[in-house]
Amino acid sequence: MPRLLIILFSPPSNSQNVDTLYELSKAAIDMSHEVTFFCDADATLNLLARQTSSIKATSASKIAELIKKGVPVHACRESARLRGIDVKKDFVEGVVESSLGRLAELMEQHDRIVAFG
Amino acid sequence: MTESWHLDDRNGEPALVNRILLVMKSRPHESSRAAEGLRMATAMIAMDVLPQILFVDDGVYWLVKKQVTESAGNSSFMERLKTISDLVGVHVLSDSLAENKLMQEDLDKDYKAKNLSLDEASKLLAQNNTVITF
Repeated sequence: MPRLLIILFSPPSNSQNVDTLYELSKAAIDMSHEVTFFCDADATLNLLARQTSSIKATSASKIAELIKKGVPVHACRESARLRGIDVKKDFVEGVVESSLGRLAELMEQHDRIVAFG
Repeated sequence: MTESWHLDDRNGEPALVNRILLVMKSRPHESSRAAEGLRMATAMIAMDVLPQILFVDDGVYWLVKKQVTESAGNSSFMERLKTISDLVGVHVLSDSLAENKLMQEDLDKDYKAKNLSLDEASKLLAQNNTVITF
């Protein structure tokens, strides 16, 4: 099964990256590709469970939906720590506490890598 | 693009050997973005995944000597950059140096940055199947 690794750097609100990656991931899953998500730097803010938005689904809710579809979503724990995020309490359920070292391993294990941010 | 394949640990299925180019285009004092690139390079090297690194646009300022970066919180990153350049080498786009009116003697010799023309940089891009920009 082809494996796709998606690395995200951008936070919610100032881009449509999560919207794009959500649709890309769903399309890849429909084509029987295996998708893995890695949120680094400001992208860890996309995973905050308490986000609200009056105009559309939040990035956290979209990512939570991907997790329910079986997409492993990794978050850099150091990036989260630097932003005052408690990785144990603040993220949507199912996020994998991870590191850049683990990202390097994921890079080796995937066929294609795309980075947004 | 040339692609090489190997067998990994997932039931003998072939996986692409990823060649990764990290492109640094942000100034050291401008944001945490380029510093994140150096963090990623360090982690990759530690895991024996060796990236190639190219400094372009305002990213060439990372290579300028005698910078005072402590106030920007980047002092440890300059040391990190020296280590990274020792381990995997770094490239710099000559056109970006010219655009920023920088000469070769403005660069810190410790980084041993290899100057690339646009043609050489495009070849470097083509050699890598993943490019991540910081």
